[in-house]
Amino acid sequence: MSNEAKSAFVTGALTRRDAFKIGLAGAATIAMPSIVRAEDSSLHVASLFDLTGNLNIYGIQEMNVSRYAIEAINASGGVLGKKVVLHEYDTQSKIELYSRYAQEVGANDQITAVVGGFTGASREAARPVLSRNKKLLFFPTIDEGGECDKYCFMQGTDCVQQEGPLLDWAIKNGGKKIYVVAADYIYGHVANAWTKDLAEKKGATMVGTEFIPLDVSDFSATIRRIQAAKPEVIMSNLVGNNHVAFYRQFAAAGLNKSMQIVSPVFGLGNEEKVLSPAEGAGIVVAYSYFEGLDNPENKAFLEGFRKKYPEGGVVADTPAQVWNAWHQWKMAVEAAGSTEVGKVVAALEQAAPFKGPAGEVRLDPPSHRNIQNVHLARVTDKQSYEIIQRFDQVAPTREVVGAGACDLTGKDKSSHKMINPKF
Amino acid sequence: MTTSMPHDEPLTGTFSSSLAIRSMRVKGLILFPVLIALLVFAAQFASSTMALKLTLWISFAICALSLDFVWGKAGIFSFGQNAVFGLGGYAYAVVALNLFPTSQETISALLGAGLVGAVSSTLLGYFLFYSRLSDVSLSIVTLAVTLIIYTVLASTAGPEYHIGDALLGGFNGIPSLPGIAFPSIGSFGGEELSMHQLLTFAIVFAGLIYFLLHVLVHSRFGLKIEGLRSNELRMELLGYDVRKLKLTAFTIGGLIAGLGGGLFAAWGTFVNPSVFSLAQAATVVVWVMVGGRGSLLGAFVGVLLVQSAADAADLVVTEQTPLLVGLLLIGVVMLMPDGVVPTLTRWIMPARSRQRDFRIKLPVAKPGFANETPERRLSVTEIAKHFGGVHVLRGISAAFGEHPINAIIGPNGAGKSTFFNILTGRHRPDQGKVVLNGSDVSRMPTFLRCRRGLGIKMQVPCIFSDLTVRENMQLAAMISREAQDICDVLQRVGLSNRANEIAKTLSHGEQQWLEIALLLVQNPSVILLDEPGAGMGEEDKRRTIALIHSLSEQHTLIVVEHDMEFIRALSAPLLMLHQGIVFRSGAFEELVRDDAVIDAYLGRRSHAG
Amino acid sequence: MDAFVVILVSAVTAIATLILISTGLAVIFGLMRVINMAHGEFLMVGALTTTSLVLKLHFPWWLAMMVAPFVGAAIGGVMEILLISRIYQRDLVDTLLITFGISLIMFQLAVNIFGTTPPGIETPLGAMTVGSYSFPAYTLVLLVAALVMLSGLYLLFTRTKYGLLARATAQNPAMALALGVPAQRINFITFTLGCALASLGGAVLAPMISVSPSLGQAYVGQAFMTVVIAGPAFISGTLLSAFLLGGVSNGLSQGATTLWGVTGLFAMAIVILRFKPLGVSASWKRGL
Repeated sequence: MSNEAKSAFVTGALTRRDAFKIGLAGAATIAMPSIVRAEDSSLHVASLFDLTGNLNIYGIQEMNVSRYAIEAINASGGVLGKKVVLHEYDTQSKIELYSRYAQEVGANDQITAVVGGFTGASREAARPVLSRNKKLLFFPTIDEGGECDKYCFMQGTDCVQQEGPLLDWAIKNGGKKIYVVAADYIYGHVANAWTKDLAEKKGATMVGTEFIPLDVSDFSATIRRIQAAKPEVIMSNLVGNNHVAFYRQFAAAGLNKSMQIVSPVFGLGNEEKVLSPAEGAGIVVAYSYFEGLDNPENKAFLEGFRKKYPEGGVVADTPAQVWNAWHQWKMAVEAAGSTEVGKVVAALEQAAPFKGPAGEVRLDPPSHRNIQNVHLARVTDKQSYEIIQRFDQVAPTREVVGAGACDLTGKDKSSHKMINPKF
Repeated sequence: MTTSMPHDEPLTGTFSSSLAIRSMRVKGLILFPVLIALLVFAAQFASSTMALKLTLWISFAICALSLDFVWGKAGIFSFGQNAVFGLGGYAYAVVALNLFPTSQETISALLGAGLVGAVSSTLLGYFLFYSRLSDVSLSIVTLAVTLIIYTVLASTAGPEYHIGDALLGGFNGIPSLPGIAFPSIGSFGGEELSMHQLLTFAIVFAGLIYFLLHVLVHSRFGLKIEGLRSNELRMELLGYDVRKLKLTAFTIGGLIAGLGGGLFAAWGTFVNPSVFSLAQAATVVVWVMVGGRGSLLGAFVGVLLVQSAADAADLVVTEQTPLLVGLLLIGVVMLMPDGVVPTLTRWIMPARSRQRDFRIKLPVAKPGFANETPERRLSVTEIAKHFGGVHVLRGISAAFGEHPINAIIGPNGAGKSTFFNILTGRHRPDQGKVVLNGSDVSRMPTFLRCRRGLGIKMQVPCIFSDLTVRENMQLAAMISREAQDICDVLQRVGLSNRANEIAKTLSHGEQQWLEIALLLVQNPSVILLDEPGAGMGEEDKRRTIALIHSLSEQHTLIVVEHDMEFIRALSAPLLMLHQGIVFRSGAFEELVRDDAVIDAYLGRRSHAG
Repeated sequence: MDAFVVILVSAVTAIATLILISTGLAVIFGLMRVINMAHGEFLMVGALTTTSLVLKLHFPWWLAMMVAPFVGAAIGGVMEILLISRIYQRDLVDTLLITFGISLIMFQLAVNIFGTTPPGIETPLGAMTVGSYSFPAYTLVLLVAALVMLSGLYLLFTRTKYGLLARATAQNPAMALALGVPAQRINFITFTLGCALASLGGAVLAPMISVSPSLGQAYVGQAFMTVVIAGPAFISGTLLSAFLLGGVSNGLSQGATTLWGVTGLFAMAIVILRFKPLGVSASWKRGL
């Protein structure tokens, strides 16, 4: 066994969170590199997820679905008749490990595709490195847009896909006066720019905007200002553990009875379980995937997942996108007839549709984002989601706020840089 | 005559050991590049994973080295070296993004990182050292600065936050940085280094920094820094501007940390604010603590041990890395508090650790003593000092110099200590003047007075306990314009055969004489002695009195004492303070018979000033 | 007018919060000169104890909050006996590092037991209305708790034998030992008390914030600032320090943006330290 494979095996740390439950299947998949390496008749891919540290609640579920997906793919014959080998990297919620493992993957000739990251920061630490080494990156989380990289494919919905439907619903059911609270980092700012843009187009007014640093948990000043502005709708783009306190303090001041909260990020980290039923009830969110979706693909997906991970917990949107990512990659490789990255990219850009658990997804080639179904759901008083509306095949935006558009199949094929939004 | 005096060390074998040190020095000079070459050679065989890991660790080690120097050598515990490291990283990012497209090199960015590190440390150091912060407050303030930088940088998310072409990016940081690239000279350079080339560069880069630091630490400046760490007060009393020394040391530390940060940014091609977090701040301290502060090599060892443990922890028991690192830390603090390298050095080579090698060359000492200089006078006029509402000194005037020895006595609460502090410069008088050899020194800080010929001996021996006797003397001699010959002075106080012993192994009495030797080598005009007989037995007291008499031949002495027998033996004019004024002055015999004096001492109320 | 009342309430909340999160640290630092880097984790212990007792064992919230300090005291006591008591004589840095090691361990154990996002508890007592504004009535509980904490400590340190001995040992350890003060026992009590106070602070805050193992990290920076600014009088100094830092920070949050509030707290701390390097109470005659 060469140094590379051994070290990849060794650093691809196993999560033992549900140690006894994960079972031999998982172990066998991971152990495979050592057996198969010698023949090299397998295809190698990698994952970069936070299995430990603050963000592990997201990472572990992504990891679970990732393994489940690869296993399912292998069980149905693999890709191009070959088994797929997954190299797992635990980035431990540390940004520098995203850099480091991206460099390792970049130097590894065998690995051609990566699914990874959760926050925008983690994506930015890895993407340029992977891109430079011509490795594919599929990023599963919702994000704000601005990515324009030939080797990067954004699985999650973008601002327009989420906020568009949310605002439509909010204006109809809540009112036209909107107050925005957003996390004070790039995502929050860009999302706000979109909110402004969309709100204007739909005839709503922004009565206030606030950006909250990530480590603040005292929202009394914010709540006072909200009460002074008297909005009907609160658009929340708050992120992280500390920001959950907003919903708590909001409810404690009794405001959840008079104002409707809508959010494109609430629920990614099971916030509905962290808050009490009374505090969370009524909040409306928008994602492509919810566990409660009623269609045959989702049923099969969940059945298989529960069998493999009986204690796995709720599957949120991001892990579901991991499933889509691996399958879309598989389809593209088979269409291209090889794993050579240039060919796979071209195949992906042919935009063949794939039926995932949330419905059909299809690539929008110029933006490298998926056209997908978006569902609105309301948090119930039992800390679960009830789906209230469905928007079919919502298109992503190619536009980057204030800075032109991303066109990866157009004339500027060499645009490998993120277009920085101006807001 | 210089400091190395082979003829004077018959029994301790110092001559041979100094030769041994010298040959070790020569060996070291050759050995070092060979070692680096070997490492570079070995590096070519490392796997990519290893190469990546090692380069990262080397950048960490440079950061640890900077704290090792600042804390282990200079005694400044800064909780914010990671902040300087991070600023270096950001500086690299900004410079590289702006210059690389045209210059196709990033060495300028790396140097820029070092510069930003140095400048930011100077600014921070200025605030820290010139504002009388206590040690504890200093460490917390450095932590606060780190957290502030974190908060500020994490909020630079908008497009308006940019420096030239580099968007700061807020919490997301700055991605897509160019790696290390040398400027193209002929066919060399012009493109970014590969992984293995980067490792080679890192080894050489770190090796060079280590080497230069090693040389610095063994130079005159290095000795001054050691003195600073060992006893800051004594440095001040010898005439050193300790704040400037601290600032210089801190700036050098900042330069090193900045360079490390630049390498870090180049390695990851990415920087973001998480390097300024509390966890990272503590991690740097952990590296130095584990490796051993005070040993430069400890920086590398510490990073190696802690980071391998963190990586390995995940294999032993997954997901429990913080727990295992925590246990490691506790283990090290409890069992090996000095850190790994010093502890191992002590076990393996116990004698070695006491051999020290400061290559100090002192200027030729001036022959003769202060006899030639007629001025040995100190006078005070109408000194008044109050603290809050308490008027401790209420108008004291006196002139010292006519008689070679002067004694200051007085009952408790008379104001002797405060008066002493006015003379030394620890307090400034609210009114009145202090004049030393014709210059008004009332507003001068202590160290400047010491440079002008004031020698101060404290009550508790104030010497450099963990330096050798010789090193103590070298520090005193280095700064003085009138430095006397060290051998001669040591002979005078009877310590010549202890020259290579660590000062704290001396007996109490010997330590007092060492302190006097420190003064003598600077040849002060006026010497202040605060209770020179304190804590001594009879024999030592007699010797001290004899020493004082012998000193008085060339210097003016002012002695504050309680011990009446001691004072009688001094045969000096007395100045008695009581309730903040000069109560009586005159010869010992007169005062001893004066009822008013006795009343004052016994606390009787009949003579209220 | 109503806005003014609400702003006042908000400012008071900020100040009370600082008092709650800092007092434990102030006691340990003021009396023992030990920097307890695990202080944040004790806040976390108190908060998690409270939420667990309420959610799993259905304790009423106020009862759960009264149990929390005992849990903190127990953990702190064990820590003190096993580790801290052996290193009092050593450098300041050694205790700092040991407590940092302990904080890592406590954090990881909490993650193992509770996971990274455990459920929290609602804010009890509903909302109070002032004109067209409303705010959680629970903020008054915060205020009361902070005042009770400080006054209770004042009484403890001035009216009890322990209090007198603790202050004596802090001022002159050698002399106290010479007089037969059982320094070991006193230090044990002081350290345990500090941990209990920290846990109580976390417990009282729990219904207002999001409780998770990383809670400690979020508050420890502010707690340190407050304590260092407070200076040697660890009760009245902490009060004034919380007042200054909390007041300025909240004022900026209200008047400008929350970001200004956060930066303002640290910046204010630095400014105060520039002029009063040993803390605001450094030149006070009062010892507490």
